[in-house]
Amino acid sequence: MRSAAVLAVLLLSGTATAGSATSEPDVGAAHFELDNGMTFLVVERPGRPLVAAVVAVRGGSASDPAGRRGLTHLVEHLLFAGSRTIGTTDWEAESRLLSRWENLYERSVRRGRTDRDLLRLEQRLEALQQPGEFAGVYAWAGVVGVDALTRHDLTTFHALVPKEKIELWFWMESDRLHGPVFRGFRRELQVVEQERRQRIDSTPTGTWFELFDAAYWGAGHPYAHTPGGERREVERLLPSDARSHFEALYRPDRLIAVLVGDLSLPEARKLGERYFGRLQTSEGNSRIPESKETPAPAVGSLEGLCACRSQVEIRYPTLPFAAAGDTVVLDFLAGLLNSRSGRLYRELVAGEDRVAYAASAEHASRRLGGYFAVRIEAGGGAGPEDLTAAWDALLDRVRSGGVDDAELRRVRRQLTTDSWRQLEQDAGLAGRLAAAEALGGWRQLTMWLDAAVSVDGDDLQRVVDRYLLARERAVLSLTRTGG
Amino acid sequence: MGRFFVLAVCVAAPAVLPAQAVPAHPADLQFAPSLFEPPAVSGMRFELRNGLPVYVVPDRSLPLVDIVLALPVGDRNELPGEEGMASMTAAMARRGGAGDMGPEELDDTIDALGARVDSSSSWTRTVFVLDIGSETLERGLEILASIVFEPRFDEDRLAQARDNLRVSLAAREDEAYAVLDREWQRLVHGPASPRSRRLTEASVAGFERDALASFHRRLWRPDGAVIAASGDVEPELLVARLDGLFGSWQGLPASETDADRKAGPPGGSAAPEAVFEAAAASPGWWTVDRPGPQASMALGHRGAVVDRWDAGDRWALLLLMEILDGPGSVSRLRSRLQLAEGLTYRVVTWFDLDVVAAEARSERSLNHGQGEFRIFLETAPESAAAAAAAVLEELARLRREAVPEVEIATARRSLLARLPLLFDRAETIAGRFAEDELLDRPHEYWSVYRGRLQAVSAADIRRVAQRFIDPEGIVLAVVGDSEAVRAGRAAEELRRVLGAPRLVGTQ
Repeated sequence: MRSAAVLAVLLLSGTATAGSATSEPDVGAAHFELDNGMTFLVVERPGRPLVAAVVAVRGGSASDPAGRRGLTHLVEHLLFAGSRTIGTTDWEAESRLLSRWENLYERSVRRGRTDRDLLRLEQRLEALQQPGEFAGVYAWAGVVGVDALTRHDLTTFHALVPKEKIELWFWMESDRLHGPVFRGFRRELQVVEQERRQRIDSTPTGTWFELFDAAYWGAGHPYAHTPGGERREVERLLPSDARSHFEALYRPDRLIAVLVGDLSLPEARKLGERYFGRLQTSEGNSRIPESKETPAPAVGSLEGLCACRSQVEIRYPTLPFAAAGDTVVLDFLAGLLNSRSGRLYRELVAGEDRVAYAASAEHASRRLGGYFAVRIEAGGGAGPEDLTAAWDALLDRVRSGGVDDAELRRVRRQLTTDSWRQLEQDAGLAGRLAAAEALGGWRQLTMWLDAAVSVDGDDLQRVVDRYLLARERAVLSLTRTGG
Repeated sequence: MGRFFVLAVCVAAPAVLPAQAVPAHPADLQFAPSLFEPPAVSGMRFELRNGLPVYVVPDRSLPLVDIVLALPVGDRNELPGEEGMASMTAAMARRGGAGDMGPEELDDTIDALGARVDSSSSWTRTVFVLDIGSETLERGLEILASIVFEPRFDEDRLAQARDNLRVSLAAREDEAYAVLDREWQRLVHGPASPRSRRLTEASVAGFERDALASFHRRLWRPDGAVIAASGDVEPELLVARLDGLFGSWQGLPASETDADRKAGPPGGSAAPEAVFEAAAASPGWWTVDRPGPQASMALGHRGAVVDRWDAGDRWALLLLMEILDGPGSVSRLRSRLQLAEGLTYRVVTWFDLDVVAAEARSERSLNHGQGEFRIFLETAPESAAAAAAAVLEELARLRREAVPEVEIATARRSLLARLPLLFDRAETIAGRFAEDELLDRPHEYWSVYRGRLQAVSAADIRRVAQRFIDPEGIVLAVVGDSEAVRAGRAAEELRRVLGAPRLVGTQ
């Protein structure tokens, strides 16, 4: 009886493997492409009750057109408004009113005041629209975790789908990409504004980090603005902007679908072809301009007062994402500095001369560029200059004293077990596969680990000497108000 | 009748589609019924010599093991003057060294194994987590036992923690949410309630080695504790090893612990439970002035109590909350505040329904749990009153009108759809069954879950709305630009329902 129960659990967990555990777990993703260029990744995990499903588009806020910062994020929101089938009780009648509404809306934005006719028309439209139907169909079918995220280089749409109903996911996701209707435009602008207030304006440091991004990357750089965009530009966005941006960005050859769960590869291929195969690229569509060169960051610094703990963020320009070379060594360096036995905690937070409440390092490498960042929050009465000086002293000790073998072994071990942990959760794995695929191929997840565990002390000295240079860094210094 | 029949046939038997055709509407798709049933617990539960239950769910797909030890001790066990002691004791057990290892050596050892070892405390629990590669599990278990039994509470690390807490105290008003949370707790539970206690300079100063060691000695005991283990393990071998490390754990005899508790720390005399009963709420509309572009608000009252997990009202309340603000469904609050009116980016609702056996309850706590019913949202200050009025109207509608069947069905499907998430991996399965033990929730709860939800009717939902949502006891706390909030749209309407807004601190 007991062994039967355990077997049931093993099957549920998708783990009915004989013998002992493998020493080198593999992601095991299968890859195929549709005729229209859309990419699919499938990780079969038999026995899982839910399929973790992601649609990703290779493009995020860095693709916002000039003067329309925030457009990619707004399109992500509008894609929940439905299609010609979902979200309406009578598409023919609605479409006629929608075109009139758009004309009136554009006129009211130009004039800077809301037309009374516009409001009357909205009331008539509301009678035909069902803004919650997209979410409602998913809820009725028991699809959970429905969400979307706009990042700098990637936009993703997430869902956890009962395995018996996976065809519904293919229907719904391909339907909204095939013929989205951006209804409820004015209301969605309000929601986007609420999101901005919540994420940025209402947090003590939100606005400062937004300004620091602008100063660090420099005016005109694709990463200089946060995915939410610029309020004044968002307010003036039009439905026609959203439509043309959607057509340029959401071309089938920019789309990636990732499915992790109890779904076979042949089934995924059959459903993929049937549903997403209908997405076509019209010849007349505009294209998102692809930069040939990586624009250099401006590396501007910033200082100010803040109702927050005094703190600094020190950024050094590095390299775009890669699963090899110095990019991986810099990732390893962040690992060396972090954790309780890492240099930052040991020397700045817990040491005798401690100045910090908390400290961490990160190598943020994106498609068009990267930086190595150290964030330190003050403990006691330390000011930003004390924190920067403490970091400089720590870095000097790394330069002069090097790194010992025990530290190297510790980081290798941590990176390896962390990479196993990343395979545990289906939804997390689906998101990581989508991101890796967009940055050059999902196999980079494995290649990155292979490269990381080979990093040695000489590599670390080299990247410290080459990239972590005081003369080429930007610093955000925040001093606690009144402190 | 005839028309309905035709429609029903259409839904049941759609026209035969060509192999590659896309159905015109999702309603044309046909699905196999959901087969998910929560796993049976049999074979997963073991007991150590001292009776400590252990749930083990093996999963050999990755060379990782997760061990969680939970004790039924938390902030609620602190006496007045001990604020933060449960969390501090838990945190310092991990950070302050253990057994023959000082803090640095302990950190080095754990990190060199690529392991994660954490200990923390919440309102009701203290939890230890070991997440480690299976080949080094043996060493990890020894470290875990050492942290639980022989924490050193190193003086230097304690001084560092006290310094950091003082920095936190100075910064804790920085976030509007923290201010809202503090005032909300005071208004809903009363200033004397343990829920309203906050860390003070004095309590930080009291975090001395002896005080932590005393809390550890008195309250960390095996009775009521449970272990959940999952991953790359052989259950019998693991249980034998756990028995070697934790099987002889007895803790202080209850009589000695009680004597300690009665003596209490300086400044405190009453037992926590008694203080809790003395709590009194302050219903009405309260504001905290804080200029800025956004207002944060919380609306609701104390949670409720039922006498068993399988109480009919409990199941009806689960559905009621799903209808009001289910995360996976088209809830009433989301439809109204976000989709229809664009007032907020998100709403978060929770309703704590404590399960306390009737014989263990005092008269005074008959209907009020230690938890709470809270609806939280953020919006522009000038829209705050309109948003609050809309929420109140939705609560009144639930008490007044029967919820349409289709809405109940959607909520039910949405709740059932999330059931697999609670058992989706070995780690969650072991954790769920261990939690049953900790909460005194019968394992059968999961096997009746689907059937009980199916049996809830519209009348049941209306009944629990009337029983558990108390319009007279509603507290609304708004942190934001008070002038803009008071002058906002629908402020008059809100005044009529909740009375004039009062500034916090003037009660």
